[in-house]
Amino acid sequence: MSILRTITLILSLVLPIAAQERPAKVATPTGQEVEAEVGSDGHEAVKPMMDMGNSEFFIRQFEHVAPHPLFEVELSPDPDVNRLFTFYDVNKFQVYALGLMLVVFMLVLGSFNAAKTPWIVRVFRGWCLWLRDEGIYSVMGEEEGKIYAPYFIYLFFFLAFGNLLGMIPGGVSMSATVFVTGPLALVTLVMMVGGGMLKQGPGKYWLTLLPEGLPIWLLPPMAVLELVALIVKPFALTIRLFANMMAGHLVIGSFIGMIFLFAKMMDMGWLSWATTAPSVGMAVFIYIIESFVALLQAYIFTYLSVIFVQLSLHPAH
Amino acid sequence: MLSMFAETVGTSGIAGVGAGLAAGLAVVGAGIGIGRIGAAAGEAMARQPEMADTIKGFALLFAALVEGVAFFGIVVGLIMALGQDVTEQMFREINPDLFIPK
Repeated sequence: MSILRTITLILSLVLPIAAQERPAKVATPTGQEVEAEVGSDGHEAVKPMMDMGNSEFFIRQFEHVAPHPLFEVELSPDPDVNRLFTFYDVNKFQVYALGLMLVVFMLVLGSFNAAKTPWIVRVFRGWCLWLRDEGIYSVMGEEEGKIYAPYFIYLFFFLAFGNLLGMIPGGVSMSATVFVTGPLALVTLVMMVGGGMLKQGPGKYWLTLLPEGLPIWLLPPMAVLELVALIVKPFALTIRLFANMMAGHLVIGSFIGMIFLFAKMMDMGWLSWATTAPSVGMAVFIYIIESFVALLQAYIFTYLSVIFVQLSLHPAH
Repeated sequence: MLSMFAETVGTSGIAGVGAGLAAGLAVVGAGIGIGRIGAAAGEAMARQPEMADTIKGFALLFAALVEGVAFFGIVVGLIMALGQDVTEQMFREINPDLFIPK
């Protein structure tokens, strides 16, 4: 058992590191994509600071927020199919989050029969228990909560660890793109609709969407409204998580870019050195708020998913 | 006629003004909402100190929901500000014949 744990641990942490970073493809003003020039130290060559226009500092910081492709896997001779399987830096951090979850929860599972557990394992046990009891069982009840609890606990910890890994300097928040939060919300939508159809019958579920006691001329608009409400709920989940994660990084990037902006505007005068301290101070302040928001948004995504699935399984009318 | 109008609007830089308005007004709404939630939570905790923990969790949850709504406005602003280049890039990839550079 412990050999298996060791092997899984090593694999889950080493495989993502094997993804080597290549120079990113940048678009030149004429519209072609060329590989960025590699400077003398192996990283991308950057324009000297004094040559940049006033807004170019922020562009360089904001590039952190967009996903960059790392490498493509050669699965078939067709380049369009290969492009579907590009490995982005976002994917790398997803794998890191999964590896961290694997390590932590294997430790938690191993601690159930052990005599002594370190305090950190007990913290995670308590965290899981709190999420299950107050997050899931309080909304769905115990018998039904038992079926859905594993997915929601996984979802919460995946998002929490993923967002927190994005807070490390040099890290990328894996939920900072719609293409990650969208599929997660889509899974919630499938659980809502599928769970409702399984529980109430395929046809009757759609009838329960309409409120009762309506005059017949009001049925078509209400049907459209309820369908839109069904689709809007996962859409709001997507945008909420995506915008929170992206905006946090954008704000931090803006404060850091302002340091260089002041330096260029004042030609590296003494005042630009003095404004470095408040800029870094505000960036650190936003950093603290962001690390709290990362956990909070992961919890809100999970809790709202639980509520939506519960509303689908037991409609109010 | 419509393309002339679209070209004028597209090159005038008014998208940036729209983006700034969207972000600013969204933040005003979020500030008002979260302020009211904080005031109500503080008052409720002062009336019934034994419910303080429940009220704290409740207020935090709703503050995050209000902030989520404010972020819709910010995302719309971002789309307005940066949408020009993104659509150009998309056009270039999908159908180069259709793309007419400025």
